[in-house]
Amino acid sequence: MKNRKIYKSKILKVFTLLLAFTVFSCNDILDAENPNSLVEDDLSNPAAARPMANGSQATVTRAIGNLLTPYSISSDEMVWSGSRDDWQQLNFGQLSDFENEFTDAAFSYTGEARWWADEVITRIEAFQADGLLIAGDELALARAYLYGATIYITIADMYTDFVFSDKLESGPAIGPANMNGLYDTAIGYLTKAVALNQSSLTGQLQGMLARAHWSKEAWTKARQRNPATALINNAAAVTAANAALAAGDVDFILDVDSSTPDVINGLPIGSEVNDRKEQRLSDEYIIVDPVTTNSVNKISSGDPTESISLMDPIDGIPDPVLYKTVVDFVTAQLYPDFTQTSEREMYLILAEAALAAGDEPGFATNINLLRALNTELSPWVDEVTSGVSAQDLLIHERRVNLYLQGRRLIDHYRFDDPSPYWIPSSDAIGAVTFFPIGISEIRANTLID
Amino acid sequence: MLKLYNKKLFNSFLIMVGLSFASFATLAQGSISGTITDAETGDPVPGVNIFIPSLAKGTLSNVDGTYQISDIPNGSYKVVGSFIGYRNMEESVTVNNNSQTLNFALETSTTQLSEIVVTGTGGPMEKRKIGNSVGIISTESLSNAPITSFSDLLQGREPGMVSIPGGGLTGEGAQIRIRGSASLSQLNEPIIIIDGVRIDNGGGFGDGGFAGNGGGGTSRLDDINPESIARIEILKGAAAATLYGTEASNGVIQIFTKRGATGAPKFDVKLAKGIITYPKGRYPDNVGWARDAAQASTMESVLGGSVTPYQLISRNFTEDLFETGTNTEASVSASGGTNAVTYYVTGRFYDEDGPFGGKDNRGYKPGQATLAEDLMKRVQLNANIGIVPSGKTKINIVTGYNKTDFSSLQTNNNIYAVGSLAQFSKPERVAANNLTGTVAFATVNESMQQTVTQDVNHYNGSVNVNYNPIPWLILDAVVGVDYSSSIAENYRPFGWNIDGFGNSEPDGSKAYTNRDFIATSMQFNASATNRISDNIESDFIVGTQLIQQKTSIFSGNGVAFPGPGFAVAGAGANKDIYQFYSEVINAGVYAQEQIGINDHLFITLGARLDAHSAFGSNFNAQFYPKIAASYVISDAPYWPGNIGPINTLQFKGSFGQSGLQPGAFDALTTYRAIASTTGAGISPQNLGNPDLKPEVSAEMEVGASVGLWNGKLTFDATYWDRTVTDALFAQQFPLSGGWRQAQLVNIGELSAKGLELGVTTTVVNTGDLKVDLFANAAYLNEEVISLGGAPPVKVGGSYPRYRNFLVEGYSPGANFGVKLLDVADGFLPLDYNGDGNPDSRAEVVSYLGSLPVGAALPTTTSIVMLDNNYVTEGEQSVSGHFLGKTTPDWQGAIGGTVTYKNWLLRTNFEYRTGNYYVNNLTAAFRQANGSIGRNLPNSARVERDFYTGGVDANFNPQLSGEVRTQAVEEWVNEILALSPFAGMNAIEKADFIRWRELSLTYKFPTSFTDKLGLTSGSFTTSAKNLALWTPYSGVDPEINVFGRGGNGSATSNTDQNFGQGVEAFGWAIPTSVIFTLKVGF
Repeated sequence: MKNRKIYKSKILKVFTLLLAFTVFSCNDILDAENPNSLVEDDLSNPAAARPMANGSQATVTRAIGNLLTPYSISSDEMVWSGSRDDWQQLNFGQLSDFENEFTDAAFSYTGEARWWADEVITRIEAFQADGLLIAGDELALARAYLYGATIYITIADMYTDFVFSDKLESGPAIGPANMNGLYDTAIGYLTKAVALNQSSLTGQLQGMLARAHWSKEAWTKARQRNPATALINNAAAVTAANAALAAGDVDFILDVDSSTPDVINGLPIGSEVNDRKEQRLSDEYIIVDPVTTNSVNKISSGDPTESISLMDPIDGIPDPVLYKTVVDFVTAQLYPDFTQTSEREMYLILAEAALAAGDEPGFATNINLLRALNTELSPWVDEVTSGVSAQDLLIHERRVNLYLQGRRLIDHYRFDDPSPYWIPSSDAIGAVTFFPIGISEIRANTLID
Repeated sequence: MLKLYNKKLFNSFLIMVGLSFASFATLAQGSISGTITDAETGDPVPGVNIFIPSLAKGTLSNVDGTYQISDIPNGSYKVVGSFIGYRNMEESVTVNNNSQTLNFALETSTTQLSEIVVTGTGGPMEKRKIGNSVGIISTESLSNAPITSFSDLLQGREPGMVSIPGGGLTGEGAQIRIRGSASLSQLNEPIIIIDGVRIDNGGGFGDGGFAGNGGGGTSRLDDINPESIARIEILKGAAAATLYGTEASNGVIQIFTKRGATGAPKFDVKLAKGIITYPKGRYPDNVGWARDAAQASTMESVLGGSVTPYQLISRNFTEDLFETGTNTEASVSASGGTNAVTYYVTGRFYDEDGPFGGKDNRGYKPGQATLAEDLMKRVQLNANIGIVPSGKTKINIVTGYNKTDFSSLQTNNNIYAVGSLAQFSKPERVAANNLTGTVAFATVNESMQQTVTQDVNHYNGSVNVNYNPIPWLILDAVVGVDYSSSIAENYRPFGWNIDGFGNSEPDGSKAYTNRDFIATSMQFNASATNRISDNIESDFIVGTQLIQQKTSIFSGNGVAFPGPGFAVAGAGANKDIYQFYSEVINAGVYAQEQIGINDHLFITLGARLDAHSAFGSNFNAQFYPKIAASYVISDAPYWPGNIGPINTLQFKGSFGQSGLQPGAFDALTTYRAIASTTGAGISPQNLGNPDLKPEVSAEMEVGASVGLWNGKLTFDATYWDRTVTDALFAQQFPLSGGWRQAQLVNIGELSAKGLELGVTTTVVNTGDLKVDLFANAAYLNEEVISLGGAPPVKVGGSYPRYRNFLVEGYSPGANFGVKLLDVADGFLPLDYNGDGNPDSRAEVVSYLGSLPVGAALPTTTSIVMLDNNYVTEGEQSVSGHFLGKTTPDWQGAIGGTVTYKNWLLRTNFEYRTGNYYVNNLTAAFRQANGSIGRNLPNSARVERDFYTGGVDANFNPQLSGEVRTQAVEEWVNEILALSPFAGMNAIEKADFIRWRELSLTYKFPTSFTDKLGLTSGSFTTSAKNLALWTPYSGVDPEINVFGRGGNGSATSNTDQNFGQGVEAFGWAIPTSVIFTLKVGF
């Protein structure tokens, strides 16, 4: 009986230890480290303003890099050459398939960039409103506005319809007719940014304002498909373009390099064209080696006549603007820069506005200021002397000066100048078509059927 | 409030466990010895497990059949003798400070109800007392099988457990699935335990890292030395694995390593040499045709022979890469010991140079050579030390070390893979710098300049202390660690694009992934037996377990070297670094009570309470109960001895729960770092979910085991039914909401049911001849019951060619895709005239006859008309037709063993059948892709005929509308595939029977071994994967694109879990023949 008690006692001691170990240690031993990420509280610190603006820049850049690939191959700028046949569908002009893997994948980056751009603006505005914004971070706020405007303009330019959700909460599609209003959001952001008087950004902000106003009108023209007046003369765009040129440093480039590897996630244009060779610069623009299907060899020779098929309509030489763009693009490999607006675009806006207004000298002035940026090119005098009409020259200059910048579809539609790769039965031939809301969003969004 | 409640629940449980501890009594010293013989032949039987269950103490019989167990406390014991192929025997003996003799004459039997198992029972327990099924693989019975890895040991051995090889490249690991998929979102791999210690069950090249080869990764399970394994126990689901709690719902595989036995040193040596070959004829020829005279001329100059435009030219660029591979194995083990210390030490060396060659006739310029290799070298060392410091205490120290050097090549669905480029090759695209005619990406020779390597160091060790202070109480503690470190590297030398064709990283690159994993296990059990009355016996166990697993990934790459010779990432002009750290901790307490009534009815009640670091902040602990019963009617006093031919009969049933936890940080809202050119930035990462908890798998099992004709035939049947509630599902919230990454939520429900049947029989047993046969079959039916309102998920995300979805009402991973529009006779599903209706055949003939040479086959939905009428809600939800499921209704194996005198012949076949479909993506690319494909014999012909309208005997175009119409009919009905026709003409029935193993062993007679001073010796010729019978037209229905550990950084759990039915440019499972010499001395 005594032994039994001793054993019982031992058992209870063991069990007590077990109990104590489990109960008193549990909370601590279950704490796992997570050094990989930030949590919500970390973003409440005003010091997060600049990193958040940088993050907005990165996500907007990534979205545009992923959008430019399907956009370019949907136009005459690229041609399919690889394994993934949905590129071919876009090349054929089949733009409205919401299951197309590339437009679907790009939608996810676009959605992220849009939401984060708005979120960052809201968060930094809150710091400002609460007087917590760290001195000097007004520039971060101005940049946040700029990136926000950029993604809104891009969405309006490239999508037929779009949807605005917030984290878990689905939002409805806004409807194709309301896409035009996205330019107003962009203009609002840019106006706020201009008001912050950040001199280092003035030229870029005014340039993007000019682009936003111009694009808003182009949006209407493109959807009319070959309207009676395809040319655009928008006063606000002209005012902003002039302001941008006056301010200087207009070129707004979302750049990518090896220090920003996450920005080239997905299927960005540099990777798909220069690395995987899923598509290539099209024969409408360059000469391709038929054996290697490799545009790089010829381009790297240094002789534009071996690589450029698109000739300047006045001088009859391989277009030097295009040549430089192509060389820059190809040699950049995975890291081509994405120009959002430029001094060249300002001249194009001003020249087109003049032409639309019947001001041929005004057109000549601006188009020649543009052409003068390349010393190989002669100025345009008139249609007879130069052998090309003002409108045709404008279209050409837009092709080469905005090559791979996501502008070509607008011109295909408004000038009724379809891509030669579009097949007769395609969406793009049948109607003005841009990218749809992707299938992944449709499935995830409770408000879209 | 909830937290408080859970904590109270947790504490109450512990108190309940404490109160359940009843009082027990008594004390000990002596020994038992004897001889084990075969009851029919009288021959001594070596290797028999002689075991005293109540003491958890035992030994193995020696070569002459003798055994001895010492230091036995005084008392009465039941002693069990068990050995594969024999009926277990029990004898009672009383030890009272003396030496008792106990001989066993074992009767052959296929019925193994008295076999002792440990896993999931809390302690050693006879199978007959357990209400759930436990699979057992004894390596003793596989000693002559062609096993070169742990995966080989599992393949086809146990109904319900499937080994899924990624492919047939040297070193490729296999995924393991037990009873299908118990999770929609978490990896469905079982947990693996070696002698009580959790080990790394990962694979591949390191999660999220830069290095990889497209899915041909290794498995950390193959680091386990197969020669060191004595026995494997398999718990197939929640009903059996409840005591393992969270993390165990995919089953548990516990490995028991070999132990030393008391006696003089005994050495065993194994030497093996084998050859390995890929099967010929599984890779269709590359067929192409010249479009013009210039192209024909180039083809002539590169391929030789005469080539005329539009003539079909055929080559096989894949089989050109084959060679005869070899493997070599050498292992040595030593065992022995005294009553105080026993030891078992083994070392194994394995070296394989696989059947991928690609070295000869490649047209290389001087200085160039194939750099890619398929090599595997392993050195494996194991040592087990048993120490018996007193009659009450046993200490076992287990250590294992593995060193692996693995070299491989780029593979699978990967545009830079050797196999994919060879299969993409088109004879009409050959050129002086492109000898096989690849169309894009790189030439085959360039692809073979890329190398992939992985070095692995893997160590596991544990200490087990077993203390038996009083006869009815055993205290058992295990502490151990498992550590694996792997460094994987991808290398492209400077100027790797030796043909000037490829354009990716022409200046070279180096990527590496360093993965460190450490699991620390601590477990303490107390078990007690108590005879409550003459008729009732109690076995009670209580324990606690703590498992901590840490994973650290450090990965980087460097691209663009300044010049040749550099082979480190740091030399690249463009560098990228990735680092990730993960830690998960699981703590649990458990208790189980088993009541035995009259030694034939056993009822078990048990439960586990778990806390886990991955649970959300709003959730603390999970409770998992179990109940089981075993009714061994043939052991009942009222059993007449036999009913007809039935001698033994057991009915059993069980119900239990176990769980699976979310990922380490899934519960948290997090933001990731993302760099911009302006500076470091932040972007959204994980939405977070503070309510995250484990998914709970509840499983019911009922079964029976019947022994007939004195154990000459045993039939086992188990029916099981599992429901996973609160299933973790990676819900994709609106992408427009800003968070791209899907968020885990406990909203799903998944059900599965199955039937497992097994029959083993001894057909003949005479003195010289014994014939044993076995057959097993496992039926599996799974269904996604609910996704909780979340949208379906597709394997591969936006990538349209993978057609596996998680859709409510269907088997997980089921295929969905498009179908042609069904049209009336005389019409075709084509709309060339653009009127929105099918064209008549006559219209098509007329239209196609009007086209000039160069007509292009239709590839858009604006011409090819599809059936967009989706019948079920599931089909509507994914805008696709159900095209078959990827797991077969039935899988299993059949085989047998014939022993004649000194000869042993052994074979087995594996099969899968019934509603089993595989997406033959290799063929889909090759048959349909307008750029890199259309090089299969039928698709090249169809394209040629459509292009030309047919050719005459001299290959002149005929422009026949009829020929073109026939071509386009074949095109749409048999060939057209890929997006936007994803799933069409690609998903095939994939039933198969594979002749998995055949071996013939000659055991040297003792007269011969004695002369050489040996105790044993044998020579075996064995073969693996000898033949395949299948209607599947692809390379191999058994391989899959994701492999073990996924095919790259973007591979998700969903891809690995449910992408098994996708075959894309993997290497066929090779055939190997191995010659093995074994000697013992």
